[in-house]
Amino acid sequence: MDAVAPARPPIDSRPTMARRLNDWGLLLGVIGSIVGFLVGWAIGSVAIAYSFGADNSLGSDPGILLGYSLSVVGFLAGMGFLNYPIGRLMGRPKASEEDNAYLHGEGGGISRYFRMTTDHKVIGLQYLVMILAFLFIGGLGAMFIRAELLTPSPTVATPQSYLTLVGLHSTLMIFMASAAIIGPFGNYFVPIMIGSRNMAFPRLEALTFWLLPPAGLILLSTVFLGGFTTGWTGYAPLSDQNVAGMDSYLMAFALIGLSIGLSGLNMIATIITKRAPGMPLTRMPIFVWGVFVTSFLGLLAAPALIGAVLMETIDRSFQTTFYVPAGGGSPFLWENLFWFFGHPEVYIFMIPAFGIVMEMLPVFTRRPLWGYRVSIAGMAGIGLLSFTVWQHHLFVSGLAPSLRPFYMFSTELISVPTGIVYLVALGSMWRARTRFSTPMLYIGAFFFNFLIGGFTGVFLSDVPSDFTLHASYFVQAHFHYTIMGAEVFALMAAIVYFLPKMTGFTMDTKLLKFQFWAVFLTFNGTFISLICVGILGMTRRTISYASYLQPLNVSASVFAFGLGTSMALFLGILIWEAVIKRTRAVDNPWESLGVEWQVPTPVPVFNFDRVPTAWSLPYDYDTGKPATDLGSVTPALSGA
Amino acid sequence: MRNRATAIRVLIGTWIVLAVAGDIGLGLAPMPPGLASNLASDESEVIRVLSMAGWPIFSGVLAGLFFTLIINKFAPSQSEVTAVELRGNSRLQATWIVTTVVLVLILATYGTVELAVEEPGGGITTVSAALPAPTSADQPLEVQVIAQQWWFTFRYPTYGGIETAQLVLPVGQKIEFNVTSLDVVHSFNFYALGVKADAVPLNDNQVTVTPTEIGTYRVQCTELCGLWHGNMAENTAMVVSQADFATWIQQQTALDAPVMKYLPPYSHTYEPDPAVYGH
Amino acid sequence: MSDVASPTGLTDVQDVAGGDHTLIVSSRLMMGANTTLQLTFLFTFFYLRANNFGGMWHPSGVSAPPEVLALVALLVPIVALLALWAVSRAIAQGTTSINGLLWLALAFVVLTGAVRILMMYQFGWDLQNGTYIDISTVWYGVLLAEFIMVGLWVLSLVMGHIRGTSPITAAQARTVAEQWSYITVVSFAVYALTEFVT
Repeated sequence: MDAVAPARPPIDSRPTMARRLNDWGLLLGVIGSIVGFLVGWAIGSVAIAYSFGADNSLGSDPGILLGYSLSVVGFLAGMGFLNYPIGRLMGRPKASEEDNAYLHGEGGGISRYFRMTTDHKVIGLQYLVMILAFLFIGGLGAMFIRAELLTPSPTVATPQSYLTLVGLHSTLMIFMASAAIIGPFGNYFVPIMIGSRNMAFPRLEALTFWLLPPAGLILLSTVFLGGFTTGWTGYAPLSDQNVAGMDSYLMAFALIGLSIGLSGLNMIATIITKRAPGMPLTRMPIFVWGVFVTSFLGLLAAPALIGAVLMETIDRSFQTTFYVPAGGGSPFLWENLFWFFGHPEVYIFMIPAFGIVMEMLPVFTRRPLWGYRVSIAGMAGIGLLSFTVWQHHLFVSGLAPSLRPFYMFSTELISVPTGIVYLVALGSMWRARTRFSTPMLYIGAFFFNFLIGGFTGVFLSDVPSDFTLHASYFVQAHFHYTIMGAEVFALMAAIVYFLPKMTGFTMDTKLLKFQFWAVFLTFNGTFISLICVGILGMTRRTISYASYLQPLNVSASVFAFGLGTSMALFLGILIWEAVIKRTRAVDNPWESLGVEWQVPTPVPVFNFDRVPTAWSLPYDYDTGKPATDLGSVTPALSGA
Repeated sequence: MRNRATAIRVLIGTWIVLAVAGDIGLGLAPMPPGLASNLASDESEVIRVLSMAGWPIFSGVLAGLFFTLIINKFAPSQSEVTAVELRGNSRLQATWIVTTVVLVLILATYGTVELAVEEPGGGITTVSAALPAPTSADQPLEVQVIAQQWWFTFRYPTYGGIETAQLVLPVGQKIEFNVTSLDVVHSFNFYALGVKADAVPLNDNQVTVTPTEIGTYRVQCTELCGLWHGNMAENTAMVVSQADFATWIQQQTALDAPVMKYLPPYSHTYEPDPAVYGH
Repeated sequence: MSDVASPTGLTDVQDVAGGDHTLIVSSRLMMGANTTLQLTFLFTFFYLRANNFGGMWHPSGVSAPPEVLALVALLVPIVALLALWAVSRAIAQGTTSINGLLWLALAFVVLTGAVRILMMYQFGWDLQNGTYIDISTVWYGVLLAEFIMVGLWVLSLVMGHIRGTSPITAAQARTVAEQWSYITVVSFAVYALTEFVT
């Protein structure tokens, strides 16, 4: 079979209408979103509310929700996402080669990043920017929260603004964490790592990205609608009581759920059907396995969220009583549905992080991955078990006390496959001459932080100790250790590691090494303080607390300000080195054997000039054999 | 540490020192939430056991991480590394997996046994009748906790259903808390007694506990319930002697007498006012 | 199965033989996700029914869906289903004159949407009158949305084929028939539940 790409027709330089509209996509999208919002708001406030007997004033929930929905549709229409479906519905001929090529960004240029582009590499970089934006804005929220918590009683914030801040910080971070690794790196590298020229559904992948900016903006617009007081968990019936700002949270979360589900679908379809010949499932890089397992979680858990959120929006808009006890509903229904999604969601955070860390580890230990197959089993085990543990969030709710031992057991059982990841890491590092390049520093911190996170989890999985610790800052420290201490550190490692490949620039400087130590120490300082304050009984999400807890809170806040500064420093170094100074990187700075480093930088539009047919695992550092027969970009690597 | 055997010996030695020192410290340290009730003592014990069992594992992995990462300058050259160390050993992996599974089983069994033994909470109940007055310290005294936005109210059905804002309990007497809510989900947390029970409207969540130490304590709400959730810790809670409790009950009954006819009849749940869910 | 047959390298499922496999796999995955969604509603149905909070699951006087219209709403998609499977078989056997079948399928797809909208309109339910009504309304609404989505897919396939711009492939005919069948089966189950398990 001909595996060499034939010469492509030159891009017709005369812009067609389709291309012109595409270029202006963002502007048209903004216009579309405004028009859509107004239309939806009008219809929702008057027509729908009137016919269903709900509140038909201009500030009503049906109006706002329909306004948001149509504004998203308008935005996507303006961006050009409806062109293909509408064209097919009318039976029109397909877009021309040139238009498709243009859509794929074959013309190059920076404008690709600001419009609908079907190149997975462009989408990966778009995701990276969006993730960092969520991280930064959410982090600002955290700084305000810690500033308020310097004192035991309200000082800079009011209860309303404080709870909205808490809700915004946590929800934005959840959005960030759900796509932090898969979004930038899954999108950019999975097709390359399996020898495919593109994703299974390129337009769909662009859609999963372009759902994020509307979701973020809709969430932030809650401040104009009064904010919301439920935190990111949105418990009913408090969510029914909330003013209109709650609708922003519901709509934004629904969009993110849709993005997660669709991205999962696309990744699975790509990995199953678009692998190069000569690449069986058992020869895929471990990162691709991580993405594969996670995508099942995303695909199957997101519908539960969408169902739960849908019922809540109907509750708020039409006074149904899904979650309202007096009318036949139950708050427990929300808790069960939400956490049935919520627990796989946190493994959506973690499994790609495990995958990408195990992918990078051999490069720095110059050793093969110790236990490739067992680490696949570990990640698959985590994925499977994650659907069976959700009731550990409900241990004190009074629900089904006789079921608590089962959920205690299943939750504790998850530590077994997670432990496998540690086994593989330890085995890979055992008596290895580890190179302590900057990404390796973050990877080391990953394992340290997740160890603490996992250990604190044991106390929460055991029901009697959970009685003491549930809903306290101990829980908060636990999930910050696992999500921030592990996933965000893996994110930072991956950014430093893959930036030379994705952009050709490097951010690896002495200042970055300093930043690592700063972020590592301030992170641990912050959250060890919060572990202590949680053990002493301080409750989450409160603006006031007992005065004897103030010293620990001050300690946490001071370290947190340091942490925020270090994270901002990371962002600053990234922007300075990669955008402003544009420090060129060498071709394969980490001397990796992976196929992604064998293709040239910048990666060709269709990834490979010739799709390799001979594949092996990219971890043969003892023999120096690269992943494919493409030849090395750098001279042949010998065993360390 | 070119010699593999020496490497392993140093690692194990470091680990043993860390583990033993840590376990001694954990064995002696006071554990949350303290010893003020049978529940609290059990929970403290569980936390102690988990810490002492978990610490050797934690410190072992930590030692392994540090050791492998930091002693790398003594790492052997490529030719000295064995195939097992290089690519994986299914026996080692199987041993690790089996060991972790066994540990989890032990942990889960321990937790289940503790849960069964301490009988902390019956959970949600639909029994409609209030308990009769206890004739001994072993029979439970029913105390209802009514959570609403944003304070707690306590009701004593065996003393005429009086309502108080102060929670006073007799020491050594088995107490059955019946926790419910009038509007949204709250959570009744009496930290020192080791009690935490969600207050869900139209639901009755029961927790049984015996306070063992006299003192003044803090109760707070631990489930986000709206604007003033952070302030929902104003109720005072005291555990007093039996005699003091009797006196206090008399005072409260006298205080409440004029308003008793306006209070709703005692019930395990109360119908929330629908207006409370509107916005 | 390289995708280089299309010089642009884009995976348009119409263009590329490998696209068939992608389509079939994705269709099955969507059914998996759809199943989780239906299970969410199923759980809600039984949970609210079993607990009957405040006695408000099925207050007296609440009626089940109107029988005649509901049965019609069940039978109409079956005709479309049969037509779609016939199309699939015809293409697999290489028959080229399937336009009649396509129009038939399309007609009954549209009819399905119309009948279901009419049926929901005739429920006459008061949304504040108990959770049986709430969950049934939302569930029927979601099913309607799913019928419409697959229906739009049928429309695009039919239009592409009739106009000659993209003839239907065997894989497409098969997957759309599978999806329509799935939703039809679910609609039967939901009707049975709301009619008999109140």
